[in-house]
Amino acid sequence: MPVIFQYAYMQRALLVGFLLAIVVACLGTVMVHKRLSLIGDALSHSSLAGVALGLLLGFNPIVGAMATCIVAAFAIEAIRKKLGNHSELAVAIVLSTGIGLAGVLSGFVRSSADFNSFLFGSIVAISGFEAKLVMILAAIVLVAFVLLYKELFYISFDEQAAAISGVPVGVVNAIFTVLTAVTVSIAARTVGALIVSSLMVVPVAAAMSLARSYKTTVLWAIFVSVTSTIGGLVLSFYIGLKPGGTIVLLSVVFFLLFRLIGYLHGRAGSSVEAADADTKATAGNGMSAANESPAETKGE
Amino acid sequence: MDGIFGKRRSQSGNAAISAYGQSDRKEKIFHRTHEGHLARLGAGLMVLCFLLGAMSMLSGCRRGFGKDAVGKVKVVATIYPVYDFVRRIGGDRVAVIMMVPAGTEPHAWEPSTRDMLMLEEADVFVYNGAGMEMWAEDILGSVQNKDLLIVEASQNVELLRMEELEEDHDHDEHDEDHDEDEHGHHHHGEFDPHVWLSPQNAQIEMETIAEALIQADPEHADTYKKNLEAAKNECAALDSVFREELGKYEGGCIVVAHEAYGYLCKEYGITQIGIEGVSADQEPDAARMREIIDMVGEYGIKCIFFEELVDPKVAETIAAETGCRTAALSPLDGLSQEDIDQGRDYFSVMKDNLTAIVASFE
Amino acid sequence: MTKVIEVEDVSFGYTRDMILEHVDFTVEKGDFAVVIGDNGVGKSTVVKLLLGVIAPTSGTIRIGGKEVTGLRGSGIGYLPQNGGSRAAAFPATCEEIVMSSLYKKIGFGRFPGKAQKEKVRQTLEMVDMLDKRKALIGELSGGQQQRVMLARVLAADPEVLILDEPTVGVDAESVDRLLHILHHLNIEKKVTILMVTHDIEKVGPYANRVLCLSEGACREEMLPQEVQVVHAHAHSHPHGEMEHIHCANCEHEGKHGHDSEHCAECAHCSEIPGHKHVHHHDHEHGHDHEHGDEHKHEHHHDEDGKGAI
Repeated sequence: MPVIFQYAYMQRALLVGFLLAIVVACLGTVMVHKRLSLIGDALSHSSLAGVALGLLLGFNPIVGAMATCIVAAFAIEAIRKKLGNHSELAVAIVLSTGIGLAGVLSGFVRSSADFNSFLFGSIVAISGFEAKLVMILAAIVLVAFVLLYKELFYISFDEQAAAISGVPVGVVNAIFTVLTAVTVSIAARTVGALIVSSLMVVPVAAAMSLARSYKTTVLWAIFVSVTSTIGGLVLSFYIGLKPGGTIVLLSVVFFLLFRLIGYLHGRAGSSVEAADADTKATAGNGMSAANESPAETKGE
Repeated sequence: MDGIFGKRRSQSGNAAISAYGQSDRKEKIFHRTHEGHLARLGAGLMVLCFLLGAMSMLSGCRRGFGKDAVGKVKVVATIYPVYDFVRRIGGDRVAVIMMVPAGTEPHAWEPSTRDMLMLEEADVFVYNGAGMEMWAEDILGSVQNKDLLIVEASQNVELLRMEELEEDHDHDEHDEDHDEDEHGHHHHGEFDPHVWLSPQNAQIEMETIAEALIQADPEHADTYKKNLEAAKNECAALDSVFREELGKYEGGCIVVAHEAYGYLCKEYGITQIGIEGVSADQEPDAARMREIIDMVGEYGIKCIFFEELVDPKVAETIAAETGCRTAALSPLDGLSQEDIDQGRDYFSVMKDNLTAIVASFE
Repeated sequence: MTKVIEVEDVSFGYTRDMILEHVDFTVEKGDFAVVIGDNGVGKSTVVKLLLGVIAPTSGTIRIGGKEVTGLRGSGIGYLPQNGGSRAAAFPATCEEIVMSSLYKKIGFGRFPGKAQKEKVRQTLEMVDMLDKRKALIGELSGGQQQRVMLARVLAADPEVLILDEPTVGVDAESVDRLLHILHHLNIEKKVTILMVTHDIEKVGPYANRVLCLSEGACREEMLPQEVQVVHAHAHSHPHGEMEHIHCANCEHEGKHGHDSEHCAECAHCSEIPGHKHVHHHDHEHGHDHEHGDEHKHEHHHDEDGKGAI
């Protein structure tokens, strides 16, 4: 057995990291396409306000974090609907409110703990209870994601058309709002807010520069997210880098790599398309040629 | 006169209303149809204002010098150790305020504008220095109070460089005298600021504070000298207890949440293994965790120390991994309000620390 | 004939200013209705009302006999304006996009089976996009994107199709193809079609109904005129010039400084040989060119339109 598996904390870090990487990538695919990329940031900062509120009013700060996360997530949904084309502003507004509220409330916290450390966990220090919590969470989110896959696809693609077709848009959105909020509050406490908010966006961005369909976007995002997390932990274990930062940077490396591959392939693809602008027959050939080339690049 | 003024005011008011009446009709329509939203928004804002107001009232009355400070030397001390030392030396001749609120981890704390206001009415500002209060020099630049006597308590202490601590835990013997050429002002983040954790250094800080109080209030120099003498005796007593108890375990190892105990370890010949660096708010990396876990096994360490003001998660993870127990060890940089109310102070906490360290070796 | 779309005395305004007032019209099964009107007259609002995106301030809308109360499940196929371009950044293949509207047929928590895959294939073939089924939507041209979006709508086999400006930003070939497909559906499958368009010139020949939304000379009426292009009415028109009813797309209107005026350029609308009910108006064609000036006279077609109903 390799050394890395001989330590219980690393086993937990790898397992929890693996599960959360999948969960966060799935949620990220939905959120990015709803133009809510920064929802992870907004929610984790809002949950900070919840921790402060919990400490102030004397209830469990983690419960406070979860509650404010859910409230913040619904606030984002509500504002997003009002703003129409500027839906990304909803996240910024809630993000600012969360930071502001956390800042003001933290001034009143007199409890015997640095409340920052109360919220932001570290992936190498995960308790058995948290590991179980993440396993349950992962199971729920993944089941929901698979069951609601086509609803989510439809809503992400065209919310209005989805509603017209009879997709229960409100219910599906509400389910994912709650799941995202709970995931962010638990994951921020368990592995740190940095990892959650980054893995929600960067792997999806990486996947989109390479993927040839929505399904492969999801799969590539999961791949990038999981590989970055495991790779980051391994690097942290053997080289002594900070795990959170390493994981995030690895995912950024994937993004740059995929963009480069996408760019190289895209140039080839566009030249083909330019040639086939007139006739359909060549267009068809061009497409199939374009379809083959990414497989080759991926293989390298 | 009053009547004329009143009239005039009402006239101008009317003018404004009629002007509004002629203004764009669309605007009016907008107002009417959005009345509901505005009302709700208004109500929300009112609740928010009320909450903020209530909170500021709750905590607002606590800070600043009260009436009982009249006739006393008004001292603002930054963190708990210097606050305690000032109280000890000054006795009832001084009114002391602790700037970093009780129960707050000071590494991440920064003063608010109101905290800075109390410097304007203070006579003496005592801070630990050696990089502990990163913000101290910044705010002192903006203080208007020209009579404020500024004291860096650690100015006469022989400081340990951070690198010495991090590079090698066993080699403490470096006789570089950094502080003389620094004119009492140390660069941020270069030295380990937790000087008070050795009784000798505590005594040096108390002497510096006593000098400052005598300068600020020469009339009562005798009181301060007498109090200093008593405190020095207590320091000496504490030192001998530490020496006696820890002498049995020379070369022993303690695992602590962050490397705050360098001065204590150096003085009594034990070694600290910090899970995190000298500052408290860093995330450990996986390799460091492994290193510590391996060392815990290697040295037969039985206890992992955490700090009351920092989340004990990391300590608990290592303890769970190695079958150790966890215990609190206070670096004293902040003491919670409950502890202060219970009458705990520098000496009692240091004795508790000694008990905890000894227990971990047994 | 069964009434598929019934709009009864509908008024709507976001603020107190009403965009639509007392609008009445019905579309019957198998109709190909075109909604025309000047910019800002409320054509898009009518579409939103029909879809249930917004609720009328007063009046009722029924589709298939059921009152429209919200977005959900009205069974309408809807092709939005510039439908494709909005989705261009979305990483999905044509297949995936068309599959999405088979949502109800697949069922909750299940994945598409053979029947659905075949349906997607057929629908893509119908819009002549089968060879691009694996392509990302963002890689297609505007016209191709629109055809995919149309396929998505058609895959659900809607009985009513609502299209909002489908000819805008699309190449001529794609427009022809679109109209051809719509015509086919309309004739063969008796799909009821309601299309908002500026491009009456192209769409007109396929349509059997033209609904004109106009503020009209009399502001307080603000009525959309339900007008049948059916030639029979043209002759009952006091001016004998049916084309003036087709007031859509009248760029020249501003010149005359009058709302109700419609310039000669509008006239050509009805001149195109119709596929179905639209008749040739050769004499009007000539008239148009010879007496262009006359057409700049004010035509009280509002009342005329009502008379036609």
